[in-house]
Amino acid sequence: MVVDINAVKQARLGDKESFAEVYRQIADDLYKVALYSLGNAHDAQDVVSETFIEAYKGIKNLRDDNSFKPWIMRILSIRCKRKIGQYISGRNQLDIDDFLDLSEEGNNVEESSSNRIALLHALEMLSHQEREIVALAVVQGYTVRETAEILGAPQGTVSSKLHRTLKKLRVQLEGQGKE
Amino acid sequence: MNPDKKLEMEQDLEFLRGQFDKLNREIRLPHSLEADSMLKLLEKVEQEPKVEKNHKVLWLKPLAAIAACFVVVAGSVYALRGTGSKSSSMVSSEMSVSKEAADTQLAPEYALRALEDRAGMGGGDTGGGAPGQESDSDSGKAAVQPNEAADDLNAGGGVDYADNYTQLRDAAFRIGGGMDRYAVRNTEGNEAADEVYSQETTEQQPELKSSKIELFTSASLNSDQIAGSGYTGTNVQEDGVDEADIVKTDGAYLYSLAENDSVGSYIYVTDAAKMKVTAKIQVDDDVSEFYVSDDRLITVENAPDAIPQEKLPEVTIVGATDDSLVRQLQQKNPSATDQNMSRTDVQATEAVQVCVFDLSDPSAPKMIKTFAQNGNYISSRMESGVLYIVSSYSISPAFDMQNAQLSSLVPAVYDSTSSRAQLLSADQIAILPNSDRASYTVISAMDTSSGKSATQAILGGSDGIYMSPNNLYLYRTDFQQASGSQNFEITRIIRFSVNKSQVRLVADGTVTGSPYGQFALSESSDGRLRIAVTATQSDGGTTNSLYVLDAEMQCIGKAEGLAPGETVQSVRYVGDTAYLVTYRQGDPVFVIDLSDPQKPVLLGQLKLSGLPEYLHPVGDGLLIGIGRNIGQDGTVAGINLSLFDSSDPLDMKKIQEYQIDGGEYYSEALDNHRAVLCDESRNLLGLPVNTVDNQGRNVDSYYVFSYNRQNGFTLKANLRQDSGTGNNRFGPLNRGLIIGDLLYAFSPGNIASYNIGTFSQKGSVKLA
Repeated sequence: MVVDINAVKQARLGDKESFAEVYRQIADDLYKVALYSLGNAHDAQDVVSETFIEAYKGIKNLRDDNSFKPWIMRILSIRCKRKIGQYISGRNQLDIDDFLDLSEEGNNVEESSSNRIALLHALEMLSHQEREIVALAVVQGYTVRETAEILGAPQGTVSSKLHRTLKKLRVQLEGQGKE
Repeated sequence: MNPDKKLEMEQDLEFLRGQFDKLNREIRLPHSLEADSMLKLLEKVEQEPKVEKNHKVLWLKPLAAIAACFVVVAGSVYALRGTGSKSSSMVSSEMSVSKEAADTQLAPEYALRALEDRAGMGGGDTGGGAPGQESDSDSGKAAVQPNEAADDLNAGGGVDYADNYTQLRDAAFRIGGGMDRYAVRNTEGNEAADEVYSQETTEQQPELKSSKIELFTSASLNSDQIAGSGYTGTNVQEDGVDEADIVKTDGAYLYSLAENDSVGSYIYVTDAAKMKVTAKIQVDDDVSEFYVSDDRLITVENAPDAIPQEKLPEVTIVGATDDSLVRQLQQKNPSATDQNMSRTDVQATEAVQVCVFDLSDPSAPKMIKTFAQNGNYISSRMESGVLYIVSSYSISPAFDMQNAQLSSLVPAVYDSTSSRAQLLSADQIAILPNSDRASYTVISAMDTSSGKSATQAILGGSDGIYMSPNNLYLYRTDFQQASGSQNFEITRIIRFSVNKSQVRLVADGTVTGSPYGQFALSESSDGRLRIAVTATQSDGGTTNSLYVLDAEMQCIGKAEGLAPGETVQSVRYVGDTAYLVTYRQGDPVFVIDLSDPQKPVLLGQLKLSGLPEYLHPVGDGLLIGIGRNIGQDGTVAGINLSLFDSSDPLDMKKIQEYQIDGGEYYSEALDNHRAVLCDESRNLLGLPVNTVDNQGRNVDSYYVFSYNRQNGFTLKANLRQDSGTGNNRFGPLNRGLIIGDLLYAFSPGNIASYNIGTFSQKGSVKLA
């Protein structure tokens, strides 16, 4: 979602309502990235609310109103990283229920949800960091450069990681039909 | 990234975006995260006692000729308070320019006065005293010191090799989650007799993986050595320790790895004097880099099928240990009985493969052998003809299955000169205590002349390596819950002594924080390890430190609390001086004196407008920085070259910042130090540069600068290799090197040579 730069400016100057407005505009994106990276709604909620508070406190230091979105994504990324640090490694589970809106009814619910489940299983094969890269580059549509800025990693590293991760996913998804 | 990979990535992105679309639309923001709920949360938080945090930003007062500000700090004065998010106050350790400091010529004994604690929290953490009086107890009280952290982690002893497979199995089981994972609480099983299952039979001549090698000339073609055949090698971190790259030379031939349109990946062998391709070696697309040394060319790649299941010994974990663990687990989970688990649905085991070619006749390279070890490639080095390969191998054995294979627990290697792959024996595997990573770091040392190799592994994993001429260091960062239940990054460093093929585990230690990469570490001439790290604090902020470790990896000196709120971006150690750049406000270069390893002394800092991401010392007291520009609004873009006079560490001066601005300028040199060419004998600096023109087309160049103390940088050449179609058919220029009086510029499809001085083109040769 596009962020209203005037609202950012007002928020930066201390207007709470404007901050809430700006938050409304990016909350979905924040939550999605956190959910993909961490794999469950509970932790994703924790991380997003921590990010909210930290962003609120820190927004007066924002140097460029145009970079609000990558800035707050960076805060989210750091929070996610710390959360991931608490997980026992090797456990990449995704809470499938948190991703699917199971109240959805309809004729195609079985078929379409099996596609989505296939996608979620493919995501489960990835590490948390790989999922975060996917969330930023694929879901949110950030460029490699922007993704690298958000993650605080060198562009070349992100680029090759993304390339490999996309391949991995693709192989998983295309291969699943054969089993 | 070459255009083909880029295109592939675009296609993958398109495809996957489509796949994700449906899934994304399903994801709903939970009610608790809606703006109104968040505002309520904010009110609650604001009602709690407020704590002032000291976010003082250091801006150096502009000092004209003497650009450095000198506040000298004795010893390890910077302490952090990180006990709780509510009560934390960041003690500012920024070095402010005190007037006296700026005016006087400081001797290292000058005491620090600049630590101000605006939060008014009191406490004696600031080391305002004279050097040597720094009170350890104060600074140790609330700060997380490396040794404290080490004690937490090291309860139970250091790293040691396993006695038998049972011990290994149990350690791996524990690390992978243990009984909790199987919802079982139990004691460990009995010891069983250990048997080594590595087999070595060489009756049959194994099939060598065939590699297509094309020769272009008859074997009688000789190459004339280029006159004055001094040549530049890969720009490596440590002299004498080679790093793999995509372009190499031995002074007579040029070796370049390229993936060309539908032709595939090849290493081209080009006679540098005659500018003729004499041979090309077909390699897998996954070959990412290679070495050339003494008649050997060695490629490295991730190759998942390199250790085929059928080559592995057929031994089960139970067979090599006992079934005590299986029985315990099956008791708790009776439905998982003796399943005949098919092992073909196991993911292909990760492996790194190395191919060795004989270059004694560079016009006719011959494949000698391949060698593979389990794991994803981390890095490699080469010294005195010995290749060191490091990989990271994750495991998740099915401990509750009777027929789980030992190969799912233990790393294997596969040397093409044997008919079978070999599992490492237990005494080749060390176990890192208190690790929670179910992965091994596998290290092999291969003598490339004889082809013999020795392999060992550490259960516990690692993130990266740094190699000095005498030691190999692995480092690994974990998040640990320290007391006070805050997360801290803790980096463990493991030191191996290296003596040709002998790689011996010697010591390990820990520091708080994480290093940004190999350049954050450096071994001093007297064998001490210096490491610069960034640590995330409980409130999400960061702080930076430099630690000095002795040969036992114990911390003997430190400088902590540098530039709170920033992260280390680049570091270089030149003799006993460290230059450290942090990001994101002010982006100064810190100069730290390490001549007394127990007392790192911050000599000063130099403000820059750009952000150096790579620092390169050149003889004669000059330091080059390659990095990016930082715009007024904080955006990071373009390329920024900086030149410093570092001849007097107490008085570091900035000579020039040269900006390549506008458009979308980027250089691989920003992320990969091997893309940098520096010829100190001629004061020349080369790097690939690309950008996008007004029509959105790629513009690829190779820039050559001269540099000197008086004038800074002068652009001498902007080399291009257009093939006239508007699109750079040869692919982007990616490397440059110098042999004799010629500079060679490489792209995947073409090599061109230029006369140094005028940079007029002398010759060229198409590769594909």
